[in-house]
Amino acid sequence: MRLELHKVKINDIKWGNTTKVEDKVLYINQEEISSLLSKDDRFECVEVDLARPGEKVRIVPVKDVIEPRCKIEGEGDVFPGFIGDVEGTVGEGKTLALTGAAVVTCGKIMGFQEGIIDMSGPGADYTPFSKTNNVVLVFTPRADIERHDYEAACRVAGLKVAHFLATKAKDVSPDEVSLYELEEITKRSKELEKLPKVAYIYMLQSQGLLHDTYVYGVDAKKILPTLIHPNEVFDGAIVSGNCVSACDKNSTYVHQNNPVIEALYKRHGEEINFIGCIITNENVTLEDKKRNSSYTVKLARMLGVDGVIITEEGFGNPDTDLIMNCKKAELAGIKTVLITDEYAGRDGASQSLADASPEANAVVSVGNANPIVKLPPMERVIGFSEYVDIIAGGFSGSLKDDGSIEVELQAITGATNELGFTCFSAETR
Amino acid sequence: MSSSYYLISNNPRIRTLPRCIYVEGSILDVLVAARDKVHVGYKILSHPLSGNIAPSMRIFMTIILAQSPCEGHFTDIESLNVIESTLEFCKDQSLSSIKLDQKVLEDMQYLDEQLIMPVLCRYGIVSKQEVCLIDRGK
Repeated sequence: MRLELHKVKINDIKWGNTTKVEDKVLYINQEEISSLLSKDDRFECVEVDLARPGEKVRIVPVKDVIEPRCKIEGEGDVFPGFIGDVEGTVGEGKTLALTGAAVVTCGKIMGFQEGIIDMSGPGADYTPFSKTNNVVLVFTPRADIERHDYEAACRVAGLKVAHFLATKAKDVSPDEVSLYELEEITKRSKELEKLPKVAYIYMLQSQGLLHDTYVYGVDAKKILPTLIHPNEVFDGAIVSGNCVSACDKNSTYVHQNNPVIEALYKRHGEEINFIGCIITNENVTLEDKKRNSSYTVKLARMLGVDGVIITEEGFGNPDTDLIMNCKKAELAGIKTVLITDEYAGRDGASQSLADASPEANAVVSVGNANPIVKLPPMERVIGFSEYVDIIAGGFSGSLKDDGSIEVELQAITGATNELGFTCFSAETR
Repeated sequence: MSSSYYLISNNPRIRTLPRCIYVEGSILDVLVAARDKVHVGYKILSHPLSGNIAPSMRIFMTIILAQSPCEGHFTDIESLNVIESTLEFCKDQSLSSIKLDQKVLEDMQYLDEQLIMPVLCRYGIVSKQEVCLIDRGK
């Protein structure tokens, strides 16, 4: 499967008479965006706003972030099951991406709200989405709307706008073209066969409202673990069902730019033989956890891999899935490396995960979500800052009279992303 | 509902369901009550940390237990391990000093119920029709 990702770089975002991309500037026509979403009667209204890197702007509460993408060649279209049809599969041909731009969705789905994106100041250092030129959609639902319907409306609206924006750049020459190609597993060269076979176990959060993920439009809690080609992920086959935990819920943008897949591709043919991705879920029942971890490791064994990278999404009960996947793989003779964040208390001294095992002997931490950060007041708030006290990571008095905020790091969107799509890292050599 | 199940919860929305042991207290009290049941032969069907809500922010918790199929009071070690490690994890997290208004408390109760409802349905503890009504907030 071969995919060309045509990257059109966006350096700035401005209001315009028409929505277009010109000289690396994304022009947004407010009416066009509003009219795109006006058919959805689940919204009372949708406000459209812009936020640029370096501006004294705070966006809160963020629900999802999406990179504008569309297909320019190949089967179907991005976000299959939502935007693209499910006849055929994605991951082949050519896809256009507006890099440096993002659609940020913002709305009050539940009484406690997530997350924060500061476009400047100390908070900006913790979120990758302070570096993107953001089209922000602020949703007000119809009064009688049920919460599941509202969540679905927010999710689809973000995808629609992201797709729409990308289509406006179809005639623009890309600044860069990245090629992603993996040979069929059973038809690989002898040179490749000599390298260690590595697969990626990609855990998807799947517990219910605001804890969900969709694969080709299917609720991930209803799947058995299965194989997915990494290129399908780049084409939006995996979509976030919005979030209650900003720091470590994988936004759709992060799925589209999964750095674990990027890293495995980079090493493919050099250090490793990258076999592919196994997606699995993180359901509430112990029965599902047992079944799906066994099934995941069975797939890895069928592929004959020597090692797996396992990424978790969320924390708490998914820690049990993470450890089950790890333990069963290690006992089957498959080496594991885990990627997770930690909830180790504000001083970092507490137990980090809700589960552990001696088999988990190679773990990459993407950071502790509990330390306190102080965020200065911003000149402008997009969204609803009155809810800062009741976001995960907020506490009584988080929002000061002057507009500054004192919160745990977990309130910041993407701060401890468990795919490693983060701004800070430490490395030992 | 089968008599082999118990729900342990401090969530008022769950209180009215049959065979619910309602705990007036915190999530730690719910965990301890569930642990007591595990010690006398029950196993947990649902992970206590059903959602991605930080323990410091978590006010409500519902756990579903089933009687162990074995005769006698054999303790299910797997359930005990899950409960104990969850207790340790939650004890470590400083409980929030947050003051929540009624609307937020209701939302938190709703979310706890939403996360546990598919499990209740899966095991036939409530009917699909009841889940549908609850899903729609009726």
